[in-house]
Amino acid sequence: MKHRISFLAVCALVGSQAFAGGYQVALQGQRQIGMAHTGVGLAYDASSIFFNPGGLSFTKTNNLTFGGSIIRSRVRYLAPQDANAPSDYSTMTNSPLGTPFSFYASYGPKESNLKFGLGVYTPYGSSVKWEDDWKGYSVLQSLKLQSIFIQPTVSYKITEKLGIGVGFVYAIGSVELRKGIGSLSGADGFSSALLQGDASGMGFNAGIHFQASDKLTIGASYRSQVDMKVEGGDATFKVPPSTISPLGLFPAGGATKFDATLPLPATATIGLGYKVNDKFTLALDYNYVFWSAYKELKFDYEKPVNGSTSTASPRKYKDASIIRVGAEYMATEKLAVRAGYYFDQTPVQDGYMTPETPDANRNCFTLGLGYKITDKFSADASFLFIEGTEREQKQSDIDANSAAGVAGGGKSSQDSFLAGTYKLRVLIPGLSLSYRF
Amino acid sequence: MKTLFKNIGILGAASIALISCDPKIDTPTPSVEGKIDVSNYIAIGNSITAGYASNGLYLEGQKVAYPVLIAQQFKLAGGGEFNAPLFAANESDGTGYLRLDGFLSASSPILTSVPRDPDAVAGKSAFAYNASLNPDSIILKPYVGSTNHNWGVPGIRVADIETPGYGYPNSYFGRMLTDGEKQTATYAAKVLAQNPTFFTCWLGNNDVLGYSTAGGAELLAQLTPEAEFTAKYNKFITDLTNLPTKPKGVVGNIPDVTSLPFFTTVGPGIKLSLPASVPAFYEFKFDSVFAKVAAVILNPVNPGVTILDTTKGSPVLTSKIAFLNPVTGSFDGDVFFTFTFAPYAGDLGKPKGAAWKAIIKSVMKQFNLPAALEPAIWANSGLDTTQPFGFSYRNPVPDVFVLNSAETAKARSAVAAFNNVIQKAAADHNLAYVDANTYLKNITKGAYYDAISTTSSFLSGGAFSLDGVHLTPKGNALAANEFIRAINKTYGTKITVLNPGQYRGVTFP
Repeated sequence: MKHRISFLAVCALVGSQAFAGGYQVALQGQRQIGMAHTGVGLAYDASSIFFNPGGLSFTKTNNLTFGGSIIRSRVRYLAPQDANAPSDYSTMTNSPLGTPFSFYASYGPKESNLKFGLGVYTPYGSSVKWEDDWKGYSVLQSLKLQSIFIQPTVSYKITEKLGIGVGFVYAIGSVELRKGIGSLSGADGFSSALLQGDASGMGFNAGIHFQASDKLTIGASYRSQVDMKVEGGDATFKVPPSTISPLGLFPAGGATKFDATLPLPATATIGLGYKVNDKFTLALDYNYVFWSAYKELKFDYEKPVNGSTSTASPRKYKDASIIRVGAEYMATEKLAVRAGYYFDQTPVQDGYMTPETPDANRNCFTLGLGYKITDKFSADASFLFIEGTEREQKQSDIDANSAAGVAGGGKSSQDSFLAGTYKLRVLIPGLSLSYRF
Repeated sequence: MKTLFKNIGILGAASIALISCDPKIDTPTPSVEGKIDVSNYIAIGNSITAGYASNGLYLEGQKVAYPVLIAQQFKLAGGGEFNAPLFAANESDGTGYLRLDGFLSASSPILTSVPRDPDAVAGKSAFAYNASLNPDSIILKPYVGSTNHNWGVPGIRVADIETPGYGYPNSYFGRMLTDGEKQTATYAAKVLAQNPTFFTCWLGNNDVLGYSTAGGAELLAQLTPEAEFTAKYNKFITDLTNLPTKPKGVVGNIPDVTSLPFFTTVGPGIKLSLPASVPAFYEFKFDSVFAKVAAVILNPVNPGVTILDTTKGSPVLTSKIAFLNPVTGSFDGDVFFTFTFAPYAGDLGKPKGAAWKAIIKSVMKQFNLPAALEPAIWANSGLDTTQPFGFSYRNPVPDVFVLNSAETAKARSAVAAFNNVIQKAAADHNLAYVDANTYLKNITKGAYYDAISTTSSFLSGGAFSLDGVHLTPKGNALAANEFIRAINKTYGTKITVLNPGQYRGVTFP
């Protein structure tokens, strides 16, 4: 007979990790950013490759555009204020600057209804860094999620009023996630896990552009879901040696491979462009983002980690809408002034907010300037200010969601979510250069 | 072109201006709101209050004792200095403690004893061996700090608080006193003399715990009689609250001892390891064997009593323990094996005598008997260690390792009675009340703090240290938060809580 000491119930040591919440990055063209990132109903330049491939055939010249932005994102966190247990614990992310970019090239023979294009852009990504020992370190310490979409595109003007276009998307990306393992301390302090991997995926982007009148243009686009698959990523565990051997909670060497899939959701958009007069243009876009594809974040490990070859954390995103209104005014022949506002609805339900992107409804304000340096060169500057709504995540919601998950045959998800109040603020200046030929 | 640069410049300046306004959320200011006075906070209690952990009192544990953490939060709300009677830096190992050094296999941890710090010891005590208070009869060096706010004394029971000269048998108390005080001082008088403006009082655990950890072997430790507990506890709380300082405070109740890993760790493994075909009942021990062994030991040559009456051929002096429920086949939830039984659990069913050997050695040490007497003790004991351990009345499990159903019921009813006294005292004197009993039961079910799973499981649970009774730093943070919660609730203060996730559980090698 053997006495067994029941410490093997080190359950949820590693818990479930997560990518990002609303990790969409709407920064695909400086001119459009200035106008609330509208553009599906407008056919300005080669950036239509992203916004509406159908509109590309309506662009007047061949075009090269390169633009980039700098994202300065900060999330403030305040610990939960339970009854009789107030907390003055507050911290803020110190995320590195994000640098999304976009590059578009279009070419079509003069007098042809066909136009070809290539777009390289970064529609999804996230970079969040919390203090290593912050209150939620066991959920997340930092996350870097990058994706680059490469999209060869063809667009055809069927009639003088109607154009269609489609692009094939090949996406490459990477993920790097660090989290503490708070239930396991060793001589060097708390344990931690690092997951790193390269990802790739495929999809398409199709659109239709309709010149309803001299003043009114209408566009619709559909960007398909792209499942970013990580295969053979590296999971490394910095854990006390005894938990590897003889306990066998972690694989030999504290390392194994993992697979994971992150859905980058489909987006359907209807856009309107209205030329009030020669100087003044209005744009309106409505995006519907099929976030409900993001049901859970699952990692499959090659070798068992804490007795299991997979971990899953529920996300249960719901579809969300974005409404964008933008305007452009030609102040002079050469100088365009732009402004816009959009409301970005959160896909994250109560109790499912994660520290990757503690998502809440966002009010977003944009400003932009465009300057024609010469007939061929122009420069555009943009500024985007995102103000997230202060949002409280209640422990009771986390517990109820977890209990529902357990009732449905899953595991507790209480290790994936941190109660408290979160508030996001993001500042994004950007600049682009265009060359027409 | 100029305009462009100018405009970009304006945009840039605007960006920088906005960068300086990071997102903000209103953060509460810690405050006692003038409702309590925490300028002279005194902690009253036993080993948990002292910061005892992993079978010893040592500097690291003292520094994260829950009163120290509470005082730290008081300070944010305008509280005063809090000095604990810490071991000096050169005495940091204190009385010694257990360290987890590895695992022989996935199921057996190697717990190494870190020896006590020679610098912490003043000498040998004339007092007799006392397993729970002072295993090696040492005298600890006195604490030399000018003020002491943490009066947590390992081992102290409510039964002891009026005992003059208690600082002699209990060197943990003795080290807080001058030599003169040791002669006469009672614990209660010393604490009252501190004139606290606020106190936490978590006493009473040892009035049940000693009996329980000794497997209900009453020769070793008794439950404090209810009348004695009631009288002493009430007098103490009345005297405290009647001090000229009119202190307010918070009292904690006693957790059901059988929720502790000390009692819940070994049993399930034994249950798992039993063969499927076991009979419904086993003879596991005899109730009063310990007393009989002691009688033999006290007079080994002619004990006048034979422990096992081998002539009758039946287990006259043994009692059966309902170990498996004959109907459901499930483990009887009210039988608990002590943590100290872990080394011998593997001997069950085998012709082994290691457990008895250890018991006899320990009792011989307690009564200071010469080693030469050991064979006589064995001969008179009637034990036959060639019989299967635990499964034969000739080789039963010693009483000290098992809390049987009757003993468990006795311990639980004492906890319930004492907790009534504590709760009533809190109500009578308008004190805050921490229901540690319910809280520990919730942890036993599993709880998450800062998204980290915390249970009362041994090693992995995070709340209990290597002795299965006392708290880890994280356990202390959780306890501190419960006290703060109770204080805020009763007094309407706004004392902020700690982040438990930032305190460690058991350190794995």
